[in-house]
Amino acid sequence: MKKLRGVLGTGAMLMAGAASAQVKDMPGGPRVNQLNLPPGVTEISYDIMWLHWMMLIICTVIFIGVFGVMFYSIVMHRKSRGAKASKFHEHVGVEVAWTVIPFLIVIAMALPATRTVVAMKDTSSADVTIKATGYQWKWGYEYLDGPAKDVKFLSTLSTPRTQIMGAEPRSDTYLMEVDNELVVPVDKKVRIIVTSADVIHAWMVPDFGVKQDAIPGFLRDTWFRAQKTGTYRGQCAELCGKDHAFMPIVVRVVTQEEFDAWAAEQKQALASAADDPTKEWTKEDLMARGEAVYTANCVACHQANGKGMPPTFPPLEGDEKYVLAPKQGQIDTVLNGHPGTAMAAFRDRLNDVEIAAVITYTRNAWANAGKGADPVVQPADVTAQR
Amino acid sequence: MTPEQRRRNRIAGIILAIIVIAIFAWTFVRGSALMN
Amino acid sequence: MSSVTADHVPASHGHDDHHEMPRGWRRWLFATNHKDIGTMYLIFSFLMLLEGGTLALLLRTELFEPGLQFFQPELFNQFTTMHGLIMIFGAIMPAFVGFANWMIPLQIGASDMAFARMNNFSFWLLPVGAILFTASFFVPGGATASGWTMYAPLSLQMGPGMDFAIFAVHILGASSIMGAINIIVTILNMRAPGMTLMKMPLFCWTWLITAYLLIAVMPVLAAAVTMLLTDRHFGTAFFNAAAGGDPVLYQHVFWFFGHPEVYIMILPAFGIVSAIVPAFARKPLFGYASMVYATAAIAILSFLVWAHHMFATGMPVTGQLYFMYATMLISIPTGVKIFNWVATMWRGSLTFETPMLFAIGFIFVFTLGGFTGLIVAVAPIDIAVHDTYYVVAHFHYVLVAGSLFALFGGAYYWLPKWTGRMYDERLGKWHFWSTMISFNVTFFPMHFLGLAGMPRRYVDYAAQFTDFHQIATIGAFWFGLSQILFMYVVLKAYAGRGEPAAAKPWEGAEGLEWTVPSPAPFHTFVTPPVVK
Repeated sequence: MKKLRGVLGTGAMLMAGAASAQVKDMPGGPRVNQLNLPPGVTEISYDIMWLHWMMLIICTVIFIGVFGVMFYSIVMHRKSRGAKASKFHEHVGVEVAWTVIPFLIVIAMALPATRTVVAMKDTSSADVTIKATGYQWKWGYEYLDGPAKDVKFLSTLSTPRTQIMGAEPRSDTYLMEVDNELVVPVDKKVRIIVTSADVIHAWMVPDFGVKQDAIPGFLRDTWFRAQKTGTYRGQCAELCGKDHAFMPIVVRVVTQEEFDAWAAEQKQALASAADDPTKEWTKEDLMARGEAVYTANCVACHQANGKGMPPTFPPLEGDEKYVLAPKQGQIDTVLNGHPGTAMAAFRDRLNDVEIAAVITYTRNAWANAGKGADPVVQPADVTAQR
Repeated sequence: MTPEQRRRNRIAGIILAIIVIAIFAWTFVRGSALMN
Repeated sequence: MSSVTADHVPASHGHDDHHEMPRGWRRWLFATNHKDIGTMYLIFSFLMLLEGGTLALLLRTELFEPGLQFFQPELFNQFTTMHGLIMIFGAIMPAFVGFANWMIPLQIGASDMAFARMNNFSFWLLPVGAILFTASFFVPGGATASGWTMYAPLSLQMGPGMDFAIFAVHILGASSIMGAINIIVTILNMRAPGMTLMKMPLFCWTWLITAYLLIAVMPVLAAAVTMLLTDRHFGTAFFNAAAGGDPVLYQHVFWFFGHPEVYIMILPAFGIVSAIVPAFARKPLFGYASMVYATAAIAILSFLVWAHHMFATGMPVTGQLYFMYATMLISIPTGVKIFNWVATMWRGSLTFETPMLFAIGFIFVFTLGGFTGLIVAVAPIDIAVHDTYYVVAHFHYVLVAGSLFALFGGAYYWLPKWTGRMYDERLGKWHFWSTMISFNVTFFPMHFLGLAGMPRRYVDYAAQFTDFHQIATIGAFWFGLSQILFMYVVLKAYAGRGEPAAAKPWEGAEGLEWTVPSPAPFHTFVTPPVVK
């Protein structure tokens, strides 16, 4: 078996040399042909790596012991060697020993593990608290305290579709890059409150030693204290539907000064981008805005051409039930979703301007132009139905 | 199989079937109780 | 196939008054003979192995390179889900029931199972379930893509394919429950005089204990998927948080079934290995009583550890610690069994025919899977590797290198009894080595992928993971092709091409099954033998 592993390892290295000459280690993510857990940048991740080495070494020693005996037996106790079978079939002393000794070994393994379990669960006295919400298929972050309080944004995969389809060469951060990274200060205890808006997701960052399921209707938490600045990458770790592989997590750890500056910037940007839902918008402005919202939120299921993927994802083009019908039905659909289907509720993710814009866009795009009732929906209409 | 054998088998089978149904029902009852 | 000609046990008390031997399709549709039913179970499970294996090859093809080449993500998730459901409920579990049907009556000196007609029904439910699974691909929306674990609320979003899967699980579960009742009553009530429980072959013990596990947990699974069904269609809110339910409740109920389920899939394998190793070591099984107690201990402990599948859900500290300790404890009785097998080999007189190769291969590779199981039992490590390829590697080591290797070993071991012919030993050995090596090529790299953070159930991955995925895909195809060899060996023996087999073709074999002719006559032990 060890020889086999050696052969495999050499083979893997040869192939690594040949096939992936272009791919380099991902900064903050997996190294090419990485063999082991990352030591990471937190005490917890380091503890986990240490525990794993301990377990691996103990198991290897037991492995060598047991299979040494078995291998010896296979060689020396062969009938073809003239071995004659003994008749013994029990020995109380030996049996007690090989029950008690493993029991003691297991206790020895459990002791350091206990320390780490307790440490991982202690989310008290955090310096920064951030709420992470899993959506199908992206993450939303909201800072609940500190200099960035009330900053909130969505964090979506930024790898272009062309790279996924193989039409363009893949970058070193392929599938683990986002438009808006989560920014946190170094050497501070960051508490992440994790939940979901739809199905179960999981927030995982290997370099922090963190993984926490995101469960709809419930708040769970986890924490980390990053000891080094840098960018660290993780992925969703609970099957959540078709784009489960396409909703990564990227955390940028910066100095406290950089964090404060970033926080101030974010708050500024939020204030100026604040949409005014009481004013009357022109159809052209709504369409332009709506197209952008559609591309960022609806394309995955309803497709860029509005034809959807029936029956699971219905077409919007030519849809008589909601899009080409009086506006209340479609406003209700976008605000509240259709429970029991894949259509999520967007009331907490999009503001009234964005919802009005995207609805107006769908009512006038593709072959829908000129058909159906209420071609323009104003933000005020959406507010009224909240 | 003797009739006596068959009788004993049938009794054992019925007892086990009752256990199965009880566990099925228990799961619903316990599951509902754990909610809210 | 058991011989249909005049091999009835000498009719010293007018046995010919029973029914005429049915012929043609009636023999199989109305079968009540444990050998015929066992054969049907084994054929069915092999076909399911091929179907489940094809799904695996499809998904491994997509995973050969990063990016999306062949399948949309949703279809890929359907393949992953159905691969798991079909392998577990269609291949592994029915295969072990097939072995139980064939061998338990022979090993305890009974003429047949306790409930021969229910046995027929148990079998014929299986193709119905299999058709539902297969047909689910062709309904609108395709098969369910929720993972074999069918977690809510994702499973509540799925289309009609999910309902097909739920009904299939109900039907296959009912079949398993009936089979388990049959096995318990047979073993408890129909042993030959003198065959005390502590004289039974270990295969019967492991099946007795497995059958109790089955009747305890299959109803729980039935309830869990029924709750999914009512949440989906009948307005209940067991798992819908917005309506007052709890998604994690599903996980508790499911894994309360799910953990004993994996022991259901391995205990009979332990029984098979415990038959083969003493036979080819020509030495009695070391520590028979300990083996029985260890099996019972594993079974009882298996009820107490389910939440180790839920370490990332946000359990309180006490929960994490308790489930970690309880899970680590299971390694003790499991270790005892492994030591006992090695001690059986020690100072034996060993030969290495194909059954023994698979049994030794099992011990070797299952132990590796056991080690990784112990490693993931350590909760902090599990937080790092939960839902990654490390777990995929772990469970394929114990389920494939474990259960499947034991099934192959048992098939080669008892094939002479079933067919009356010695299978082709040279080809059998080729099958073993090809399977053993390709298995490791496929699944060993997955440990690295998982440690490096590659999540499971992913259609696409970061380019840094490519090499190990390519090795795994190549290994998978090699592994799949190797099973064609097995099919050839078995068909060749059934076709009658091979040396005629003696009643006891293996020098060191023990047990009542070796006292009847090979192939075993249609009726055996019509009069129970007396066991000293």
